[in-house]
Amino acid sequence: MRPASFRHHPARSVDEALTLLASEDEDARILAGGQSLVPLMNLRMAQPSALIDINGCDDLGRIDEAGGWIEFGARVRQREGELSTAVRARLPMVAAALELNGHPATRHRGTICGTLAHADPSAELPAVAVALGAEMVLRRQGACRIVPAEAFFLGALETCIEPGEMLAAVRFPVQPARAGWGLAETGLRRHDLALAGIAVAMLPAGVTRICAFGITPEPLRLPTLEAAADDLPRSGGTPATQARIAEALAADLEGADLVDTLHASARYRQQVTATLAARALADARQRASQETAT
Amino acid sequence: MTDTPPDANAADRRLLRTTVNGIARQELVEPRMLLSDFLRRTLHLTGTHVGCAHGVCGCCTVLVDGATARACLTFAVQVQDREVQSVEGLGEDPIAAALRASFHECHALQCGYCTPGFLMAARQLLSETPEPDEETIRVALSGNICRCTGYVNIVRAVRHAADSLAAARDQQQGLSDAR
Repeated sequence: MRPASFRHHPARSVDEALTLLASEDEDARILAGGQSLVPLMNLRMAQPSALIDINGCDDLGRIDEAGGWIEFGARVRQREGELSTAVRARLPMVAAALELNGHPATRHRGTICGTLAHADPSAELPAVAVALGAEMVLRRQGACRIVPAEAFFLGALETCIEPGEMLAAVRFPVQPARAGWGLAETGLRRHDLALAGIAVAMLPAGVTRICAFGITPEPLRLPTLEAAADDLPRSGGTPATQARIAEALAADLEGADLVDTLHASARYRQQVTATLAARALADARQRASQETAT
Repeated sequence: MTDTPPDANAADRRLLRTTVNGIARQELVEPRMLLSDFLRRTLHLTGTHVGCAHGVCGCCTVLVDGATARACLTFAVQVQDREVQSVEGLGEDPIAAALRASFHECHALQCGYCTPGFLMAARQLLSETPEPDEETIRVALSGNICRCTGYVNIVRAVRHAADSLAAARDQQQGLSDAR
């Protein structure tokens, strides 16, 4: 298994990368960590005409914190985000998602923007980005647009990135004190692709945002469950609570295009998501109350 | 591949300068050449094994600038001016030496195909977390597949290596205290 030939353009800066991208045809792709793209190339499921290699772009390798946001440039490795003290303290759910995202060896190379741009339905970070209200910074030569995470993911391996554009950075709103969060998933082996998962962000103002992953082609907000979350009793595990969660989830998944594969049927994914939701909500509540106490 | 002169077929080739196991290397490579092929075919360093060739099995794990990476998911041109270490380069590294002894002691390999990758992943773990518990070891090794399914002894060997390194540290400490 070897990739097909491609034109390789190493870039030293984001501007150079955007110039190269503009000069190439629409089958050109950005090469950052390559941990999702290169497997597809080895399997010849992807045959990009050219790769704009941004590994030499030091200006894309920064984690910046300003104005209530933490921004990750396109070359920030998953492992760098995971180990960053700012991220662990103020975006704990992002750090937790990165820890679940692949194995140490793939996280050393794989990037935060890369897992978002790849948009694998079973990836954790897209759902966490939606739950936390992250924003995508899309750049092309001479232009820049900001897209909310919720509008960014269009389907399995599909985003709103247009030819000539690249995901130059992603920024997450810093989580306020007294914010709770919960992230739960299940899969075939630890750190492998999730069969189902859920991300819960609980803001102090009583706003809860919940996003599922692995069960539909794109990360899926669950508005009914979000609305029900505040009324749920604090004890997460009772059968009555579980039933209410399952009911709200059923309403949210009405007519949804549920993933149904050999590894997990649509019915199983829906059932296990209800269980994971109960767990993630309980975790979020517990963390929110802990934050209050300290 | 190595039998073909570099300028044959006039394909797009780049001059790759990199350091592998401490030795500076200069080779002409096609951009599509994977690091695993560069190590195995160009440099004849066949200790890096290729199991699945799409990043799942971990057999091809090497170090790039001291951090584990999948050689099958890295293009050779991406290690330009970087330092690569393969299992052959672990040499006298004390953690690697303890792991080799423990893999032998605990019978942590059967066919041995996955062993180079496990050694690299385990070395990374012990260099960051000198005394991991079993759960930590299992998580750290979760990206490596042993098709013989000999995980119990692999986990035991890593724990054994951690213990023997700790004992060596204690002894060292004792000696310096005595002085």
